[in-house]
Amino acid sequence: MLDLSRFARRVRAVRAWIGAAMGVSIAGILATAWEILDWIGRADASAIGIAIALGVGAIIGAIIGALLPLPEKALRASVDRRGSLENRLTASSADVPFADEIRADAAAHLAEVRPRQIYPMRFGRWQGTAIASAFLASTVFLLGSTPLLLSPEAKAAREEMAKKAKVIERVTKEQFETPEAQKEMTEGERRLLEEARRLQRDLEKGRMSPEKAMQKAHELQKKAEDLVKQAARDSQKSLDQAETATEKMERAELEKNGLGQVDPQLLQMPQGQRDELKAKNAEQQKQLQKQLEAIDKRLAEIAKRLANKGISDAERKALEQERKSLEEQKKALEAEMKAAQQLGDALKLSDQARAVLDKMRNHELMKEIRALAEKMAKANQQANQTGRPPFTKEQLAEMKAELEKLLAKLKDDKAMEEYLKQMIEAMKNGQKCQGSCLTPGGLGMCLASLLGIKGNPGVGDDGFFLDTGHVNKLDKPAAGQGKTFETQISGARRETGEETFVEIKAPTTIGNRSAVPYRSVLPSYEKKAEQALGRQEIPKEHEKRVRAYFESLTKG
Amino acid sequence: MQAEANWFRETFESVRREVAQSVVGQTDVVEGVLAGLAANGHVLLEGMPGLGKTLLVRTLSEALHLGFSRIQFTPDMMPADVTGTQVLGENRAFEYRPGPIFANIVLADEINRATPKTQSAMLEAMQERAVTAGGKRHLLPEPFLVMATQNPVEQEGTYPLPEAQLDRFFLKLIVPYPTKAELAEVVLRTTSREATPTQRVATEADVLRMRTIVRSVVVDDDVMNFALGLVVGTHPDGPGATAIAKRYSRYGASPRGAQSIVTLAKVYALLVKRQNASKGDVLRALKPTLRHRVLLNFEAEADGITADTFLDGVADQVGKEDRDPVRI
Repeated sequence: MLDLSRFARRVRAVRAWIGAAMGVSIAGILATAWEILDWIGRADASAIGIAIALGVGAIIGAIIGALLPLPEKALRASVDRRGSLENRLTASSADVPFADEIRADAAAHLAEVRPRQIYPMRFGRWQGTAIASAFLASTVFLLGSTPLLLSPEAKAAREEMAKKAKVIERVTKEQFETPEAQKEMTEGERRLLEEARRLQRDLEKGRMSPEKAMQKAHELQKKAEDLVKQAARDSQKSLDQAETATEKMERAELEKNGLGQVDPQLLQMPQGQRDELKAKNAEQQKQLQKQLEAIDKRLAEIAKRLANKGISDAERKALEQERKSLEEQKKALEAEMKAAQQLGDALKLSDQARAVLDKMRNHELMKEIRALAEKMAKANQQANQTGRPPFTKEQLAEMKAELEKLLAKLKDDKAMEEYLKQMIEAMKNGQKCQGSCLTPGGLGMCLASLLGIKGNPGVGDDGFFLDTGHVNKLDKPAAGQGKTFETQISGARRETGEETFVEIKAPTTIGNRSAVPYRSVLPSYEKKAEQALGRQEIPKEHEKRVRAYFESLTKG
Repeated sequence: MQAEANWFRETFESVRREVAQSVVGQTDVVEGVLAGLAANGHVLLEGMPGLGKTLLVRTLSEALHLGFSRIQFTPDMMPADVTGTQVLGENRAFEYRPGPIFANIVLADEINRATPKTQSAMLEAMQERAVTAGGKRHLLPEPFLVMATQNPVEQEGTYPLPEAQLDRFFLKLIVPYPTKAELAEVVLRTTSREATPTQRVATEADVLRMRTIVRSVVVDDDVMNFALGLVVGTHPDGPGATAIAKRYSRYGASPRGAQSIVTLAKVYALLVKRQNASKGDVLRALKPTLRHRVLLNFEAEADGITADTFLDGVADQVGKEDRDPVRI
């Protein structure tokens, strides 16, 4: 058999060359489609991405081309045809007596054929298509990315947006793209981060007006606040669990000291109240004792007089009645006395328990833990109310480290260990809502401030008319005849937030009542408003507000 | 085999050279006639009178030292005038007297002037290579080659050969007018000096050996498929029919056409000392072997499509379908 390996190698090389061109052509078309999607805001194309797409297309095409099957028979026929060998190669496989001669003849002619002559690497239609396709992709990308075609104002606005996008990028990179942050991020945070990045890309590419960007920033801020509140609630839950763990721990300590029967109410009673109760109890006991002693004395006297036989029946009867009454009183006082003594005992027991608990609570480590828990609870309360975190990330890390240190010290005590674990859990939850510009909440505030919103933006009760958009006054204020003032302002506000208005001046007198009663003009104003709604001058989302306003006036 | 191919080529060339001593120009015709001889096929020549057809055949027979006879066909000619007849001999018994067809090379001049009956007898003898007379079969000598001529202009009083008869001819060659230079050479040779006697350069055995060599030439599947594609491509219907055949062909080439095209391709391969036929050889053999085997319809005639242009169209379409198997 004739050796055609050098031709096979050449064919594979040429196929790879064509395959690469085909790959670039297809990749170029796909890249163009990608850029068009980028234009309409459905995808994010980048120069590197496009270059990679073209490169990958070329490589895949080349590999596929090189690996396409190349049957020996087909190669023989092809070399025969292209090398003008007059079917010597195809005939060389014939089973004839003089096959060797035919093969030798074929080999002699084949030796004169060079692979590169019959399989040249031409610059053909596919290469042309590849260049055209890559050129198209590059052109579309440059047209979409270059600010050359923009007006100076639009260019400046875009540059401003791009700067803000850079800041968002920096913040998200610094705070969220660390391994630690990635590990601890929740699903909600991921979504928020994704939206922030999308906003950043939209700003970079100038796909968003400043008004839209600010609206979006507000949305993100709201979401971030919700996340912070949720995290605060989670943290509080953990703290509550930690509190339950503390109670369990204290109860165990009391039982260990034989104080398991202590009244929880007395134990939890404030010290002043307890002292007062104790004093009252002592006084009560004292009074009761005195009363009992007086009764006993009187009863003794009665008994003595009854023993005297010289008393009349009526007197005897009266004494016996008195004795009976006193005995009943004594019984009642004794019961009271017993109760007072029991309370006194309980108070004594609670004092002992208190002493035990105080001893435990006054432990230095425990004090520190409690202080942290209180701090955390306060922080959670604040975060839940405002949606903004009180601690920096560093502060939280410090607190967490401190707790872990305590845990290490107290790990032999199971109840304490459980408590501390719950505290650390609370800290972890709390960490999700910490840090200005560092966490979801911070990111929302950060976005708002980046886009020019300071503090809590001027959101209306119904969420309309944020301080966004431009206000264009269409006429120049001109003084009317006489004492004229603005009596009416008409205008429209577009979906983009842009607002135009006209000041209408009419002759009025300062300090006097309006010449036309308000109720007389209200129907016409209402009609005008309805017409404006009909003409779609009023943004759809504000129609409800306008109607509600006029309805409220009519009702009044 | 290479030695055989070389011998074939040398012998063929020596005969051609010798013929060229007498016949000026007409190289394709000379080569075609020699190819027919080597391929054991009869040749139909079409051309105007006086273009040297008789001279060619006579010279060829002399160069090969073969028996030659010429039959001038006329309407009143009977089959026995060609094949021979039974005559009463001196011993008062019928004996067979062979006709002019009993020669190695027969020139059947203006065969279309003979009646169909005579043509049929002639063509039957060509096919069978034997004549039956008086119940006895008489074999024609080997090698046996008939060269028939047709005058394409004079159609009155002629009996055009039917398609079945035409199919018996291996080749149909068109004898063109000589060029001015060739004509000058003809005039010079015939008016100023004595004709050079033709030398014997090959023998009857050589011709038979050439036929054996032709048969041994290799035709691989690729070439065979191409040749058959061309033949099938002349058919007006069927899976291999070409667009031009569907439009202009009434009847396509017969299986004899396929045999002829492959055999002539083999001869052409040997002429370049190649031991295998190529597609180029097949294409070269296309027109001589198939031009008399295709019957075109009225539309072709109306459009001025000749058999040769039709075959060019078929070759073009079949060639387009015969793509490089390695797609690049």
